[in-house]
Amino acid sequence: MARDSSKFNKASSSKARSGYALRLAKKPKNQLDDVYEFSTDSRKLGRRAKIGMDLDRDEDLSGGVPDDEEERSKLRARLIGENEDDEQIDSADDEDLDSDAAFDESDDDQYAGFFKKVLPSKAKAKTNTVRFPEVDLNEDSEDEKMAELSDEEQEEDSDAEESGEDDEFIDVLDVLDGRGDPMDEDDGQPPKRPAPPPAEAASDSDDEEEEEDEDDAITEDDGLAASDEDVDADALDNLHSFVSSLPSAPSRKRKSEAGPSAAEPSQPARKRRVLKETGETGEENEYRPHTTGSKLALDDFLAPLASQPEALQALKDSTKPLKSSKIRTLNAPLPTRAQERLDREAAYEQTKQEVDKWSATMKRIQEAEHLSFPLQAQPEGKTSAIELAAKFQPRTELESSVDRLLKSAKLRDEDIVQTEENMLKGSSLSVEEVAARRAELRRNRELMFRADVKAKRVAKIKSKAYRKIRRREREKVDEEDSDDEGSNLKREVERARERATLRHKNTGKWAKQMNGRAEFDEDGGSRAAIEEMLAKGETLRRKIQGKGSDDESDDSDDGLDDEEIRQRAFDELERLKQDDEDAAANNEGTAKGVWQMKFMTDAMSRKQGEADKEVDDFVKEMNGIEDAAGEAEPSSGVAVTRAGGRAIYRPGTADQPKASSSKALPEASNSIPADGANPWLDPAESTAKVAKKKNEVVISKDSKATDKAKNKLKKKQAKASVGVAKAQDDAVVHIDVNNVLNLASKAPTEAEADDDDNEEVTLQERKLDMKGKGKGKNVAFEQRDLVSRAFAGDNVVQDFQELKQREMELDAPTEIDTTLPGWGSWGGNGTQAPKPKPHLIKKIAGIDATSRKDYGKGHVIISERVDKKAAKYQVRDLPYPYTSKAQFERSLEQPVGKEWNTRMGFQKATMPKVTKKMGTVIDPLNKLF
Amino acid sequence: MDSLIAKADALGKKRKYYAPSAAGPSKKPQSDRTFQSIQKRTSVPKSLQVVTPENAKEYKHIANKKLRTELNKQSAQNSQAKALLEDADLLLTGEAGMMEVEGEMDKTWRVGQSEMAENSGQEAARGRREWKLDGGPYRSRYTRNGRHLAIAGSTGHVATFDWQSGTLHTELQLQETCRDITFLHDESHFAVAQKKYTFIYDRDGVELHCLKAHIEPTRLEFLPYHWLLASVGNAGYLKYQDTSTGQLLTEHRTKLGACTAMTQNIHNAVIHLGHHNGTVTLWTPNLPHPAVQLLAHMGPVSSVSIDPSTGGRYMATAGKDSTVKVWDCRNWKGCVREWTSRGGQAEIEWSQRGALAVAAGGTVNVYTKPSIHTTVHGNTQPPLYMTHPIPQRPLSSVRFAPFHDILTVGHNAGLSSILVPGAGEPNFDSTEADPFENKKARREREVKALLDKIQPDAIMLDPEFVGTLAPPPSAAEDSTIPFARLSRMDRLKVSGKIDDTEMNSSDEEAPQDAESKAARKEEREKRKMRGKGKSMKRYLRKQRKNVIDPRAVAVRAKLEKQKEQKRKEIELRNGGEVRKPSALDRFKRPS
Repeated sequence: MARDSSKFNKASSSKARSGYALRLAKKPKNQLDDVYEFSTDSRKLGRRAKIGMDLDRDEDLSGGVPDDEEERSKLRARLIGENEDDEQIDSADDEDLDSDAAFDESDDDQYAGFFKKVLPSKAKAKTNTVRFPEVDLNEDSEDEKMAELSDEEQEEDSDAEESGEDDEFIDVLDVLDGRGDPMDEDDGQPPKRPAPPPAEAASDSDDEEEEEDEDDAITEDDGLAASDEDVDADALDNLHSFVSSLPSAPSRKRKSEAGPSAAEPSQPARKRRVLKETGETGEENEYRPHTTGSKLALDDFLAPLASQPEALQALKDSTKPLKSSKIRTLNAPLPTRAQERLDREAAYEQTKQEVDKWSATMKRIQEAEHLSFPLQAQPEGKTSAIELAAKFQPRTELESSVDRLLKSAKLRDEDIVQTEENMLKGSSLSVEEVAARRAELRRNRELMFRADVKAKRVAKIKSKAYRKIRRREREKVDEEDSDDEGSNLKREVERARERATLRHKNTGKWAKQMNGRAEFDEDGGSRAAIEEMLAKGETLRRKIQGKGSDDESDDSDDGLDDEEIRQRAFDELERLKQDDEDAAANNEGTAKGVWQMKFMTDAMSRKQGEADKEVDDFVKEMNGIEDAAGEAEPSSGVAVTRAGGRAIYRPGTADQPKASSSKALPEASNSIPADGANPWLDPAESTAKVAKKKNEVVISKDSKATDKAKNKLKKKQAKASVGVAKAQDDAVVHIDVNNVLNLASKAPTEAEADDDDNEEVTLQERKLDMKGKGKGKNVAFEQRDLVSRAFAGDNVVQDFQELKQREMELDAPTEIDTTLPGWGSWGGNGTQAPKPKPHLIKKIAGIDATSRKDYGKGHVIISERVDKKAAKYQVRDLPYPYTSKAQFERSLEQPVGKEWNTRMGFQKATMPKVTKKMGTVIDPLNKLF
Repeated sequence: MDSLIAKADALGKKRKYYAPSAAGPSKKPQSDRTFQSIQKRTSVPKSLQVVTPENAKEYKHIANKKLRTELNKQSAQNSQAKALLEDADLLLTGEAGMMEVEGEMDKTWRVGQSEMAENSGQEAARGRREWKLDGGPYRSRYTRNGRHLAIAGSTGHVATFDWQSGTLHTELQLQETCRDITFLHDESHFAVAQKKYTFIYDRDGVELHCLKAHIEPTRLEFLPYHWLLASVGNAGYLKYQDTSTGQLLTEHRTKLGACTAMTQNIHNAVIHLGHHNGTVTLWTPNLPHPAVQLLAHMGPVSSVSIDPSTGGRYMATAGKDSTVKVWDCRNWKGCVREWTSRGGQAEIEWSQRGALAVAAGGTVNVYTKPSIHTTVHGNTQPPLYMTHPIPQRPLSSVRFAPFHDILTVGHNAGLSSILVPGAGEPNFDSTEADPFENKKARREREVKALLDKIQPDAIMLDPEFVGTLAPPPSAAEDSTIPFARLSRMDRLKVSGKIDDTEMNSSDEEAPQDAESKAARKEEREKRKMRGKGKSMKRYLRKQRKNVIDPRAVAVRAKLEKQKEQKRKEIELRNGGEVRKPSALDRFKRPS
């Protein structure tokens, strides 16, 4: 029953807070915090919270505005969760609002005790309780009045009156309205419960809850005391309760000190402690059961109905919500403005969330370069061939007949696999057949590549022959050097080095090491090294066997001389040719099918021709080498190539730049075809000169330093002697007979040209001649002629300059003095000339001479006047988005039109921002989830 | 080509698209199905996506995101369009070709016409023709597509014909002096400068108009894009007749007497006239005076021609002082090249590919491009490309046939067409001038050309001026103009928001950086709308409505009083005594 007793205590405390005491008790609390101050979230309240502090008109009308804030706040409409999201009705508030407290004396005033069913016990108690002098008499008088007014009621409820407990009775209306709290702990209040000091009530509701435990202890004592108490000892009772309350005071004090400032203001109120009479008078009878310890519960009322279980059950069900301790009185609704604001905020949150779902989409649409409506078109899937085939139904006659055929051949999709398998099963090849087939394939391949193979072989023969000859030559040269000591020594050293490095064997320490490392070496560096080593070993082995490094294994013709090598190559070619012919003869009959077709045969013959040509070339070249080898040393330093009967001389790299230029010269001059038709080529002297000059340049990279130096020196000398030579040359040329003849014949040729000959051609020819022999005198003559012609017009230049001067003056900025002479100045003798008046001088903007476009160009006048008619085609001011002239001009830089762009460029530049099909309805976007 | 390669090389460079997919919001659309559903239809179709080329200019320095995006898009678009154009050059498969010789010793001018005709193809060889005609020196003119030829003999023989098919459109004997002939927009009309007036005939030779305003014309030119027939006559008047409306547009008095040299710059539609005093003048319909006057020769100018291959950059003039000069029309810095032509006054003409024909004396010389454009001082003839003697003097006109390697020379005994390899443009633009156009295409083009007609007042020396920013008025520096009435450019300048990264330092005062910057800042400070933001003023501005508020009135009065007091103080300090304003103050001279 500890819980019960605690409830008791609470009930008693709240009970104690009725009437004046209640108001009094609440005073300090009000000082603590206003209802609106209570709200922690001041942000949400905003300015409107203040407005809520005022009372409604109804409330105003309802008589006295309660003095203390608590009362007023009670009057004000309030909703759970107004200020805080998780606000709950705190128990203290709830307790305060028991039916009685909510409907206290002030209301009685107004409603003339209409709702007062029961006389407050105080009326009765007044007679037999000892009252402290501080108790407001006014209250009592009211009570008295009330008592008088409800006299009849009093009589009717005399039993109740006797019991003196008003709170035990529940107004049914209230219950139905949900206002009254039938299950309120007050109901079960013990009659002799001493009133706790108001200070306790004054403490904060939160504190109260915390205090509960402590209170329990106290009230237990109280309860015990009360149970011991006799009814008739009223005074004693009071005293007892007073005394019993005393020891608990310090603990409460401690409590209040521990709590926030809430308890402190209550301390002055303690002085005026009102110990209200709560005890009961009268005998205990059937109407006033002895209620020690147990509280009157709803079940007690329902007990008489036990005989009717159904009805009882129904009633129990209906009263179930009343039983719940959570059910409290509802607060009054918030003021509409506050309520609306809250609603708006909540609604805003919701809508914001909802709208935010669209934000990415809308941003995309806004920023899109191009929109094509409908935006949410279904992606048109591509129908695959399989899909089409599956759907196919033969409709036309042709289709159905084809289908029938396929069906009969079992080649339709359904049974084609089966058919194929059957066919495969049925076919089996014999060995002969396979062999024949392979042979045919091979033949085909051979046919296809015969020309290629032949070309390859020819190339091989060719290169072999070349190499052999080359090697022979080199050996010849080497032989000359080989007998000297130095080279021998050198070779020995080289060999020793090779052996020393041990890089020619796979068994060496190094090689093993490298092999071990190979697996770690990812980039293959060691592998390369090993390969290098193996290659070296191979070459060494070859050397030991007396072979060249690049010789083929079938090199059996070592002892042969060039002629024989050549002969051998030719033989080989001959053999090749023979083979070829044989093969062709063999294939003559067998070729069939594709090979018989014209384009194939054509292609093959073409390829064959190419290969043959190569052979011919080789043969020719071999002969050519023979000639060249016979005539000129291959090491002459001048590479001579023949192309179409003309020899081209260019410096070539030679192993031995020993070749004397004098030796090369005659060949060069010989090789140039003497062409009489070309006048520039026939004088032998000039060609000789050219050749000489060319030979001087024959210095290759690998020529010796001495050669280079010599060449340089030669060049210098030549340069120095050029001037002298030129002078001499000119002298010689001027006395040239031909030239004299040319000059002499000038007049007649011109005369001739007038008739029909192409004078320009002759002139040009002559000019060319002149150029070859230096500048003639007729240039000077032309100059003089030109000068004389230049002044054919009279004063042209002068006129033009005057014109330009005029123009410049016209365009120059001018100042016009608009002073009227005589105005604003004195006349007569001795007067000073008036000063120039700046405000009368009109300045006309213009362009001064130096900033003109034609400044410094004497032969041209460029008009600087503004083309006013064309000004309309220009833009006056910088258009909006651009922030500089350059940006704007770049926007015009590239023309957009079809005429200046490719089709793609035009389409890209003129792509519309929005495209839609004509006449289609554009549906709003659907939100997809 | 690069773009093609880039497209093919998928693993290569990372491609940047300007589709919003890259730039757009991509925070959480992965889960947003609505977003995904619109993604396809809000992006640029794949085929039209602009691939940003490497060299596209980027505007990273611009803070305004919208503008930056816009400009970047634009520059990408521009450079891609250019790249596409370059790619499209591949499609121009026709090669101009030139005569080339193997050795240095060989000369192209040694090759004669007979040899050329022998060695060229049958079709090309047909260009070599001789029209032996009576009736004095002939002038000729081709249509723009090079298909039709109009000839006019000085004694009145006029004919137009399709020279390729040999069909004669009309042949007239006008019985009076004909000085020039020109086709109008196509072969359906032609104008003849006759003894007294200019006449317009149609294709069949029916006289349509007698332009009596064009008196004693000597030369005619037709501006195809503007539909203007320009003529200049013995009286020295340049007249423009609009052939689409029939109105005489303008007439300019050259004040330089009779003029026999006239040509148009096809690039900017400016008419070039050569005068007897050796000047060449450039005219537009807008200006009553020549835009440019050039003292080209020391004697009368006999012929003028503009190089169409370089966008009208080079002009060649020939004078009766028997010199030929090449000028650079962009800067007019003296002549690029000059040489003496033999045989007195020359007729010159520039071909589509930039071959210059000079007909003087009894020969036609052709010079080719790189050498005639290179600056050479002194009187040196450029290397001759080819030459052809025509004994029938005088050679009165030279015309290259468009899109053909043919030069038609009008002379005393008719006309002769010679082959000039590499003279004509090998690739024709059929929307512009189609040598193979049929009747329907011709009609279409006529209508289209009329619709696309450019207004004559859009003719200027610089054809790209249309749409450009007009130069600021000279009074822009006037600091008295309030901020609100400044132009946008000036406002941007004053508020420091202008993007001056691309201003070339030549026209701005680039040096004295710090100094000028400081000065500009100071000016900006000065020009800022100072005092507008003061709290008192703001208050008063709010009260400026028709409400007479005692407080506002009081405040105003107080301000007035303060002002007055200040003024008085200043006056006291200056003059020592407070001077009453007199009625005569109004006559005080503003200083």
